[in-house]
Amino acid sequence: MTDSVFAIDNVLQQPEEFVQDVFAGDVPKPQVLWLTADLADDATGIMGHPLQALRIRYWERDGRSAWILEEIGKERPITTGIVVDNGKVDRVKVLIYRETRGQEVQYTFFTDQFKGAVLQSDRQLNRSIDTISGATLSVRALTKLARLALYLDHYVQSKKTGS
Amino acid sequence: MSSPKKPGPSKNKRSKTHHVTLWHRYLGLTGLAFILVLAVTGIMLNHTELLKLDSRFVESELLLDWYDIKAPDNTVSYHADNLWVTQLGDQLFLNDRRIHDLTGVLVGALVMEGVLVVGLEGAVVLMTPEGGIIERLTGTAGVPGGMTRIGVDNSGNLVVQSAHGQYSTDATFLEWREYTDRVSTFPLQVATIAWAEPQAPPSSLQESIIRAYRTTVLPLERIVLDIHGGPFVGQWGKYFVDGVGVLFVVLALFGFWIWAARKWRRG
Repeated sequence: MTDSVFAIDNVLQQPEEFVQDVFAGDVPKPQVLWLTADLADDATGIMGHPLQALRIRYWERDGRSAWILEEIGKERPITTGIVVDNGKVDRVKVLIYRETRGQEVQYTFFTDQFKGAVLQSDRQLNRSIDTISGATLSVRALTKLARLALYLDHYVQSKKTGS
Repeated sequence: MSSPKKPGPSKNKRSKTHHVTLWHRYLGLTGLAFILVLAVTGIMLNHTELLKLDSRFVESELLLDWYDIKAPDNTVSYHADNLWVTQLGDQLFLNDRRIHDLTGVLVGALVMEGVLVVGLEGAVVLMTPEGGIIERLTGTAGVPGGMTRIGVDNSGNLVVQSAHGQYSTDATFLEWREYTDRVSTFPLQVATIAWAEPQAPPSSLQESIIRAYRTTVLPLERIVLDIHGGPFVGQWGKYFVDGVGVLFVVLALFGFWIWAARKWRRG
């Protein structure tokens, strides 16, 4: 029996189209952020487990960065596009949803809650995200990804400015 | 004047109770081992996640043979520098170590600038020679789908053959473009591509991989479940456990009978 019997990749938007949208067709060259030991430790703290990669790809221009990140909700990864603009979440969009339950997280009534969120010093969002009954794990996954994107963006921007 | 002695149960009845008590004792002792096994395995199954029974796998060759766990025949291996990347069933191995969290159809492996590049049907995975995943490149990164092979051209570019043609990237693996093998048109120079070709690994490595594969197939949960339910000892095991269940019912009835008989005897 294949996985597809249980779950089908629900592609809401191709990741490359998302990046095109974010930069209105003028996509900057992709860059990679290598996860140093410190970064990897911090990312592990945010996600609750080590990341399955040593480098993360992102696109950035004028303080606005786009990240395509994945986290498992219950059993399968949720591919999510996150845009951070000047240290605030500008957009969270579920791009590929593979779980059999919890699809409600893909709707804007949920993802709009992240708009304007910033990362506090304890690496939590400065606002609480309302959970959805039956989609708790997916909500948790997206919240962690938003925190991770904010954290990585902060690192990238501070590297740029040398602060 | 002493009251007349209350008539007790007949000798025959006492003898019958004694027989039942003896049988109850022997059957109880016989069932003791099964009760312990059922109780312990039942408790274990109630705490599968805590005990990680579903994520720990049997490594005993004896048990694996008992369950007739065999590795699939379709091994595909690629030799990259001193590393072997092998697909066995749906699992991938770096030398004889399973690459966790990575499955797919292996189409090639090679080393570029110290990075192990593993080509799967729908992704290129960049790895350290020690087996750490650097990055998984999929459609998000512009990697074409339906890859059938990977190679390096004489300019040091990674080239992949996909369902829609050939694409390439440089050693940064950041951007992909349609590949042209024309290095220059005049004078005409055409790039050559060294494609990764499958090779047979050394037999000792092959054996190690098969051994490693077998130890990733049978979760402990299955063993405990089969001991609890009976299939562990074969197809008749569950009927045997049914029999044990019937034994417990008989024991309970005997126990009640003995208790009732004694109570009645005492008036």
